[in-house]
Amino acid sequence: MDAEFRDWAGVRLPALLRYAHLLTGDPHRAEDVVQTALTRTLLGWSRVHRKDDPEGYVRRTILRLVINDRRRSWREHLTASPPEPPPPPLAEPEERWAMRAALATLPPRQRAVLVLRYYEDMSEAQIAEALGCSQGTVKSQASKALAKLRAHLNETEVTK
Amino acid sequence: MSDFDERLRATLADERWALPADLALLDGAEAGARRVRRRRAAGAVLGTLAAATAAVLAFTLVRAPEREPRPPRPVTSITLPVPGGVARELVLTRDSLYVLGKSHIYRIDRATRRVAATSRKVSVAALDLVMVEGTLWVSERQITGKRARKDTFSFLHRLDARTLQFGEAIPVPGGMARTTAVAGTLWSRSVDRFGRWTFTQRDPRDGRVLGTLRPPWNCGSNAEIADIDRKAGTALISCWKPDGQVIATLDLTTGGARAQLGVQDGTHGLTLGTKGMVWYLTDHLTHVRIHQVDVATMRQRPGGDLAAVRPAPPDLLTGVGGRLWLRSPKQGALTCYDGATGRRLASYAMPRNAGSLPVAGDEGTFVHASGGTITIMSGTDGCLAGG
Repeated sequence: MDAEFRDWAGVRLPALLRYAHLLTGDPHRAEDVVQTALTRTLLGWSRVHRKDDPEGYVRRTILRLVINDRRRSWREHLTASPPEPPPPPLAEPEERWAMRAALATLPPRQRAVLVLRYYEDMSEAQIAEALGCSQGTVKSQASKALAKLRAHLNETEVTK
Repeated sequence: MSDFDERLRATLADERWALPADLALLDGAEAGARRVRRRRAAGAVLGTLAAATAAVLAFTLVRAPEREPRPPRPVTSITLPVPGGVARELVLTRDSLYVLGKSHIYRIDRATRRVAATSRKVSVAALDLVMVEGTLWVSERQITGKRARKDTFSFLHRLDARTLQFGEAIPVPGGMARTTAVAGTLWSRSVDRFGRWTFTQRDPRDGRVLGTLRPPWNCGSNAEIADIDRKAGTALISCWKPDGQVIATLDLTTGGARAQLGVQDGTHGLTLGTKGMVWYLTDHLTHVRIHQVDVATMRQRPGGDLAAVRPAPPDLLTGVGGRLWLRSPKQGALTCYDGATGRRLASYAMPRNAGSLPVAGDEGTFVHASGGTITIMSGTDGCLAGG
C-alpha cells in the first residue's frame, strides 16, 4: 500500500508543493504543510484511494492546515513589508513582484479565496464548499482581498 | 476580465511558485504515518483501560465544579489610547511603559500617563522590544530575497531608554532572527538554511556576543529559549522538530539535552512559572488545557494540569510577575493563576474578540493592549500585588 502511495505522491508532489506555496507564500511552511497532509493521506490511503480522488483529499487537507493553523498566531511571522523593499529579481517583471508582495499581506483565508478562484479556477460554490463557509462569505472575502491588493499596489506606486 | 484580474492570474501562474520536489518529504510523511500507526496499535491494546480512566476522569471533571476565585478586592484599571493606534510589544518598567507601535516606539510616563518620548520611524519588520539591565533593545528584520528564511538577516538596535534615540546597530546573521530577554540576560536566536537554530547570548550593555547554544536537533520551523538556570547550568528551550515539538533543558556548556518532553499537540504559550515549574497550553477542538511540567525532570506533574474546558479556543497563556494569565478573547475574560500551584486567583473582563494582545507587567501590575487601548490594571487583590 505504501509503495502505491509513494508512486502516486512522487508524481503529484511538485503540484502539491506549488499549491501549498501559493497558499502560504512561504516555501518552508509549504513543505511542512504538504508533509503533514501526505502523512494524513497515507494513514487513510485505502479509504482515500478507493474514492479515486486522493489529490482532492490532499488539497483539502492542505487548505485546512493553512487556514486553521492557530499556532502561527504566536510563532514567527515574516513581515510582509521590509523596511526598504528589495528590488525585484532581475528575471521577474516588477509589477508581478509587487503583486507577490501584496499577496503576502493578505490573511490566510482571503489569500486562499484568491488562489482558489484565480489559480484553481473554482466557482464560488466550490470555494464555499472547500472552505466550509457560505457563498456570501466567499464573495465578501474575495472583495476584501482584492480591495487590499489594489490598495497595497496603489500605495507601492505612490511610494515610488 | 480586467487588467488587474489578468495581472493577478499571471502572478499566481508564475513559475516562481514551483518548488523543488524533495522526495525526503515522502520519507518524512511515511515516518510520521508509521509513528501514528504505532501509537494507534498501542492505543488499541490499552483501549479498554483508557476508556475506563477517561470515563472516571470525565465524571470527576463534570462533578467537581471549578474552584471559585477569591473575591477580588478593587483593582484599578486605567485605559490610555495606544499612541499611533497599534501596539505590537509592551515593556513595563518602574516609571515607564514602552510601546512598540506600528511605526514608532513610544515611552509613556507612568506618572503622567503621557507620551514622554517617541523614537525615529521603525519598520513593520521591527519585531521585538526588550529591556535588560536598564537597556532597551529592538530587533529589526531585513528581507533581501524571495527565499526569506535563507536570505534574511536582522539588526539589533540599542536605544536610549529615556530619549529613545537609536544607538549602535548590531547585525544578527541567519534567518527568522528574534530577540528575547530571558532571566535578566539578552539573547538573539536565528536559523541557518539547514534549519539549525543558534541561540546567542549577548552583553545587554553593548550587544557583544557572550556565548552560543545550539539545540542538538534540527528545530526547522521554530526554536525558543524560555529560561536560564545559571545554578544548574541549563537553558529551557522549546524546539519544533520535524517529528513534533519538544521542550527540553539543555546544558549551557555542551548544548546536550539534560531532559526533554515531547508535546504532541504543540504548545501555545510555553511560559515559566515559579518554583521550577513550566506551564504550557494545548489547544484542542473543544477545550484548552494547561499543563504543568517539572523543569528538572521534564515530567508532567501528576494531577498538576488545569482542566480549562472552554468551547472556543484559541486562548493564550502568558507568564507575568509570577502569575499565569490565561487570555480568552472570545469570552472576554482574563484569568490569573498562581505560577507555582496553578490555583485560580482571580478573573477580569477584557475586550472581547481582541486579536493579538501584547502584555507586560510586574507583581503589582498587568498591562495589556488591544483595539487601540492600553489597559493598566493595578491593585491588591488575590492576584495582583502578590495577594
